[in-house]
Amino acid sequence: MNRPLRRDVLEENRGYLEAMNAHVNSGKPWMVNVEVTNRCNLSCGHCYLVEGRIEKSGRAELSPEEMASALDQMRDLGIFLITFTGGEFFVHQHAFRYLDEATARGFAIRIFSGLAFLPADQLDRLLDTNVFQVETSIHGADEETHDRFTRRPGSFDRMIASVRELRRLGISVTMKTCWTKYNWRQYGAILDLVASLDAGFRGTCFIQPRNDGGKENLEVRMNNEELHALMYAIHKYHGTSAEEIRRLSEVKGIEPQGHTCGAARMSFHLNPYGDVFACVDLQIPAGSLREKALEDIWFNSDVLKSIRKVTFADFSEQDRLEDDPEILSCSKCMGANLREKGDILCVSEEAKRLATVMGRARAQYLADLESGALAGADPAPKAVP
Amino acid sequence: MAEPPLPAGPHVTPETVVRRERLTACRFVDDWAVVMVTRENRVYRFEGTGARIVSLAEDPVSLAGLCDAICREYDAPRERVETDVTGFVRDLLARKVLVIARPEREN
Repeated sequence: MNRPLRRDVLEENRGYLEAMNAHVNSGKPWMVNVEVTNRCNLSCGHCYLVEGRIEKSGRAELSPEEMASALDQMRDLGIFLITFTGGEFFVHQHAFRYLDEATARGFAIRIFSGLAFLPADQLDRLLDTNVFQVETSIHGADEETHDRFTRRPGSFDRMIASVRELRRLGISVTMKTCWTKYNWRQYGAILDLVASLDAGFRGTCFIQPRNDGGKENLEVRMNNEELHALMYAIHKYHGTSAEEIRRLSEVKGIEPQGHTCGAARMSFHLNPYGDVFACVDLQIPAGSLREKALEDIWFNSDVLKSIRKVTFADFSEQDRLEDDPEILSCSKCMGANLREKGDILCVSEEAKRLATVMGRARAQYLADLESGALAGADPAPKAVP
Repeated sequence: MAEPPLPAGPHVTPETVVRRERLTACRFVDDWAVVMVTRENRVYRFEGTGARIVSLAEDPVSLAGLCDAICREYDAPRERVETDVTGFVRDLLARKVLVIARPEREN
């Protein structure tokens, strides 16, 4: 059996989750995603951002004074968890100042970073802040695969050194892989490497069009055969039980009045220029902190109010939500729907494709497991067409 | 999974001044205080009097000062409040939610 991967300290704390839900039910956000810059030292093939290493929007990023005001307003709304991200968070000249400011205001802090900018020996500065977790991306099990994807020689070695250093410092790390046609065959080596680093792991196959609508990045998506093989192989790697496969495959009915996610209810997104969005994927501006107070935007923005009230009953294919397994089991991410179809209520075709192929892979794995054919099966078999 | 038992917190006197550990994330929701002790990678939720003590310790406060406030706000007998608050503060010190700002009040 492979080593279990680390879990987030907040995921399993019932008292914490009850408090979070009580706060959200009172109409206030609990977490925020703060994008301090869109600049990045990497140029990853799947990324939804278009800026790259230099700022192209012509707009000024928030000043330290504006960021301090934003943090004050977030604290006053009762926000507990702040995620600093980019671009690359650490390329921002005031990155550590922002961490200090957020710490002084009593936020729990998570950082999303490629960990290929800051030298590993500078990471101990995080120990004097409220950073409890860093999430990074691993695009391959080796330097060649990872660096080809980031288009930055040396990024793999620097990232791995940083993860080792963070774990030595006692800071939780989650490594994330966006499975693509370039790295999926390395699934075993990637998962082994993550476990050896004592990090948590999350993987996704959901690659969406860029913020400017560009689709060049979709070239990295796996085809159905590759996706099927990967999903089968990952179940085999983890030794997923028949019981667990059945649980994963169970198609649950959808409560028509349920929400798809916490966007605009539990959380929101702030971009580098002070614009507020329901979510990083819902690129519909709700207001600017340069023009309005956060509290005003949160409670009075028509954009946030309309997204907040969306339920499954509003979806354009809601009639199929009652009994169509393809629709029932797939992601209803409004951001993905918007990026792909220009309509938050129209379910993404890519989401349907992923759900369908993953379902077939689970079914084949279960059949092989129960017939005894799994033991000798190729870990990454050809997909059923 | 049950929390492993903690060693008893340090000895405290009515003059001991405590405050919330600087590297904590803390918010108050309804009657609760949610506290993450960052470097311990632990999250706690305190209720009622416990939440109030966490709130009062945002700035340095003596144990006697905590007892004064709790007696006043909860209309409880002094003797019992002193026993309960002392035990709770020692527990919070052991969990590193609070730290000792000064062992004794400066004159």
